[in-house]
Amino acid sequence: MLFQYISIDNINVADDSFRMTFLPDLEALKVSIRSIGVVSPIHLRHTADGRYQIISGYKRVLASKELGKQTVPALIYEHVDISPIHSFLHNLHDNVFSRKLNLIEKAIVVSKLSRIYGVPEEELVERYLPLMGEGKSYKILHQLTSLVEVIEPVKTYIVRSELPLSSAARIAEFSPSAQNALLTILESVKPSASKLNELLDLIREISARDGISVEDVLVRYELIAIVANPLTAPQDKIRALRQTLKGIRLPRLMEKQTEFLKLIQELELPEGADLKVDPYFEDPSMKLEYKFDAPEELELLVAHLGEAIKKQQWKKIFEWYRA
Amino acid sequence: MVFRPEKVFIDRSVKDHPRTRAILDKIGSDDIVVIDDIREIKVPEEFDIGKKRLFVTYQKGKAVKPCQGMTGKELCCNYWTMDVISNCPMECSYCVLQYYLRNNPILTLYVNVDEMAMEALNLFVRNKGRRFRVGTGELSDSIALDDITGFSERLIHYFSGCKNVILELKTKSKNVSHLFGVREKENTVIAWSLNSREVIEREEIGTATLEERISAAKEAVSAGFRVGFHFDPVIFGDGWEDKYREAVEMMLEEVPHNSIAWISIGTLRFPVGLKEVAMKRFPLSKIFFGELVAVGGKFRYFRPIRSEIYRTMLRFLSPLKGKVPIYLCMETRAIWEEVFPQVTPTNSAIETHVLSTL
Repeated sequence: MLFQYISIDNINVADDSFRMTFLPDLEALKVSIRSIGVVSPIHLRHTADGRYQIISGYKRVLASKELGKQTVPALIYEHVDISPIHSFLHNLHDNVFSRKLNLIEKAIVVSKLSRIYGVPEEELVERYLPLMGEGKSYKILHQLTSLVEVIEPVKTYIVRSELPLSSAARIAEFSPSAQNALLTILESVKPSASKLNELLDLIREISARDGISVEDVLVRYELIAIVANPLTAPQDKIRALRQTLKGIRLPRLMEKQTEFLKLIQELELPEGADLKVDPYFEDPSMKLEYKFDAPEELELLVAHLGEAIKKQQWKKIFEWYRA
Repeated sequence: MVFRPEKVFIDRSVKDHPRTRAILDKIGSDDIVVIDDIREIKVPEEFDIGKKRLFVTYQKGKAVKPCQGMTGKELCCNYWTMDVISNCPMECSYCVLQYYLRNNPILTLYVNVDEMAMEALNLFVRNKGRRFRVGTGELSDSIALDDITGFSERLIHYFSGCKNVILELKTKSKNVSHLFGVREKENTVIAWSLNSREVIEREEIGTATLEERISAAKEAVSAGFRVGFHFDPVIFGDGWEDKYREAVEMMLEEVPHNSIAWISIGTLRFPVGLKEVAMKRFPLSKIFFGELVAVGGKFRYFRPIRSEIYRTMLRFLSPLKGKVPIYLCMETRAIWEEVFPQVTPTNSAIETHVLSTL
C-alpha cells in the first residue's frame, strides 16, 4: 500500500465496480474540501492496465473534481494485493460504520454481492443484511433486490421521501412505464407510507381486476386531474384520490354508503350532531353524538329528532339497514 | 391425486415406529433424511417447496382442540379439531394454510395417531353428557393422504364405540372407496367441500371435480355412510347465483336427502396477511379482487353481500328445509340473527341445531 497525491485524471471515475453511493449530497463535503482540503485519503486499486479504480472515496473524488482540484491524497493498493470482492467489502465497511446507507444503496450492495461477486442468498441474509442494519430475512433481501430495477427518478423519489422498504418494494412491483406514470401522482401528493401503500394497492388491484394497464387506470378515471390542481392541499388531494379509487375498487360498498348517507342527511340533524355507523354495516347499532353547551341547543336536537320520527325517517333507516 | 414427496425427513424418535415404516413403504422414496431436531430442517422459503416435502414425526400437543371459531368473535358450532396431518397436497388459492403454516410449511404426518385417538377418547368418555363433533380437516384434507397414512380408517375404528362423538372426514378428493369396507360407520360423516364448477376448476388445483365429489358422496351413501357438504367459500361475482345453483341442484339431485347429516355455508374470508401471499402464489386468481373489506383482522365481503349470499343459498337449499340442518361457518351474531332468526345465536344453540338430526 502506497500513499501519494494522485492526479484525478488518472482515476477511472466511470468504473463503479465497488461503488454503492446513490444520490450523494456533495455540497457540505465541497465546503469542507474548499476549506481544508481532503482530510482522509481515498483508497484506490491500481489495475493491470495502469488505471486506478476507486475502492472508497467516490464522493471526495467527485467533490474535488467539481471544485477543480487536480489531485487527491490516496492510499494505493496493487491489484494483486486486494481482490475485487475485498475491495467492495472494504468500501462497504468504510460506509456502514460511518453513515447510514439509504435503501437504494443497500439494494446496490446486495445486488452487486450477488450478481458480481457470487455471494449466495443465505450469506447475504445472515451476514450482510445485519451489517447494513436490516433484519435477517429473505423477504427483506428480495425487496431490496427488487429496487435495483426501479427507474432512476423513482429511486430518487424513494430516497428523498425516505420511504420504508415495504412501500419502495410495492412501487418496484410495477412496470417501468407504470412507475413513471405513478411518479406524477406521488410527487404531487407526497403521501405517508401507509397512505401510499393503500393507494398503490388500490391502483394495482383495479388494474389487475379490469385487465388494463396502470397508465390506463390513471387516464380512464382521471386520477391525474385530481392531483393536478396546484391550489388544492396535498391532504385534500389524497382524500379525493382515496375516495375515487375506493369507489372504483368497491363500487357496491360505496353505493351502499352513499345511499345510507343520503338517508342520514334526510334526518336534517342540527349542526354538531353526528350519527355514527359501522362503515361496512357489520354492527347494526348506531351511535348519535351531539355536542352542545346551552339547553336551547339540546331542545333543537330533540325537535329535529321528533320531526324525523314523525316523518318515519328513523324507521326508514332501520328498515334500509335490515334489508 | 397421488402424493409422492420429493424429500422425506424422519424424526429420529419415530424412525422405527411401525406407522413410519408403513408410510415409507407406501412412498418408496430414496431421499430420506433422519433428523434429531426439527430445527435441522431449513424452512423452505417457497411455500410450494414445503408442500413437496414430507416430515414424519410425533404430535406433541393436545390431540383434540376447540375449533378456531370457538375462540374468535364469530359464532361457532362448537366444533373440535384433530390435527393428524399438517398441510395439504392440494392447492387452493384461498387456502388459509399458506398463511398459517408459512413458517412451518413442510407437510407433516403425525404417526402417534393411535395415542392421539386414545387421548381424544379419554376426553369424550370423561364428558359423556355432551356430544363432540370432531374433524381432521382443519390443517389438511382429511382423506387425500389416506393412501399412504391409513389414518382415517384408524380413527373411524377408534371412535366407533364412542356414542357421543361424530367424526367428520372433510375432503375435496374423490378417493373414499377405501373406507367403504369398514364395519363401524354410524358415527362417521364423510363431508365434501363443494363449490361452483368454475371455482373448483380455477381456484382448487389438484382437487376432484364437482361431479367427482358428488359421485363419491353418492357412493359413500350407498356404502352406508352419512355425508355432509360445505359450500365454502362461496365466491361472489358476476353470475355467481347460476353457478352455485347448478352445484346445489346437482347435489340435491344425486344425493339422498336423508343421508345428509349437515350442510354449512361460508363466504370467502381470510386473514389480512394472506392476501399478499396468495396473490403472489396465484397471480391469475381474481377472487381477491372482490368487494372484501378488512374487519377484525380478516378480509371478508361486507355485510350486505354476505347476507345476499346466504339468503340466496338458503333459497337454493330450500328442498332440505326441516330435514337437514344448515348452518353458517364463522359468521357474526348479526348475520345469524338476520339469516336464521329461528336459531338462538349462541354457540351451544348452533351446535344443537347442527346435531339435530343425529
